[in-house]
Amino acid sequence: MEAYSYLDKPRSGLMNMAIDDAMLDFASEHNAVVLRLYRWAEPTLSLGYFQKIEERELHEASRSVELVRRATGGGAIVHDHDLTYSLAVPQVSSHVGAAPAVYSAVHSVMVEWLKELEFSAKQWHSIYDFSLPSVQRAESGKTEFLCFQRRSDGDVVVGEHKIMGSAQRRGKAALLQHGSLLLRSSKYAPELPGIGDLVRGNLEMLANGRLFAGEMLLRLERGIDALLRVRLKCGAFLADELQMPATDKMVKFDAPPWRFRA
Amino acid sequence: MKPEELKYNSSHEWVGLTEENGETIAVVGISDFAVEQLTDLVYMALPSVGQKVKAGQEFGEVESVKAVSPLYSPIDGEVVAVHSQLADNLEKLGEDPFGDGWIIKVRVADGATTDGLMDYEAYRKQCAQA
Repeated sequence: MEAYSYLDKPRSGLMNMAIDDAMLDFASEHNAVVLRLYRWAEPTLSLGYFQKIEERELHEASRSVELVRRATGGGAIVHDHDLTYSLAVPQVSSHVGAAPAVYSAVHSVMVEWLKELEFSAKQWHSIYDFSLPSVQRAESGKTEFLCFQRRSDGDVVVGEHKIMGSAQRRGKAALLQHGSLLLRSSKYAPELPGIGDLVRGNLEMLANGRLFAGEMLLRLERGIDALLRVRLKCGAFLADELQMPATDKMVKFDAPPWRFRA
Repeated sequence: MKPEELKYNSSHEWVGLTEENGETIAVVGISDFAVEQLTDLVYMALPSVGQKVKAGQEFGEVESVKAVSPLYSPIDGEVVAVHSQLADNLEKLGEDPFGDGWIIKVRVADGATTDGLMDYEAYRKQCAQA
């Protein structure tokens, strides 16, 4: 199985979502793993697939930013000072639901790295932590709007703060997982600190954005190589190859029934 | 519906055919195996009555903890009924996946059959290999 990874340039929210979708198609058509690390060209709020548009009114700080809707579930994310990864994996079984091993592979290498940077990072597990709320069911009315105010088993936390989460979407023949690492707090979500705001840790690498992103990609590659027994190689060509199919897919992500679903 | 009498596609949807007012109606749901794999179900998106569906194509989605999974129609036709209460009572899928957990009913298109789907034995074999 071929496997590619690359560091993409900052793009608009619509294009980022469209490229993630195009990655799913590429993975199934070429039986290839694709890992992409990216940033957002402007502050953007991404809603979880099932979140209603009116929920946006719950969060005043982010109301002015650009809006997209992800194909994955979970809560809303303000993309401003974060690094986002997306991973498309060809599906070899007929499983439904989450593929927890993929979460674990990504989150565990991130915890390992953050610990090397002297952050007290760990994967959160509800069974061990009674001080934080676990994921609430929608019908209870207690589900937090922002993804980083929710907790799911395996989320990466530093102290009491969630700093990385991921979500998946199954396609017919491939799986998409994407997630974000909060680097610094955004004025559009001031209640959420990033790792740069948590003074206990080595912040030197964080000061060099490109270096930090490069190292993060390397760490993710290691986790995915180990899980899938592949060897990710340079996929810089995908930045161009996925452009056209992604441009076509932008229509879907921009369409009001998708973007502004009630 | 009795699981042994249903047909299944590889993505774990089941279908049972009935006759109503001279029309063939397909009742569609997801299997107990799928419900178990999905674990905690959080949301479900269902089609509208009147929507056309095609075998192998998505007709809805379900969100379980950390993952959105599509639902694929096992047959061609037109949606004539949607179990709309299910979205607010997702536990029905786990309690009675082959009965009160039905998801949609489809007026089967002319010429459409379930011949290409797995019978119960073949489906269970697939689940065992998963």
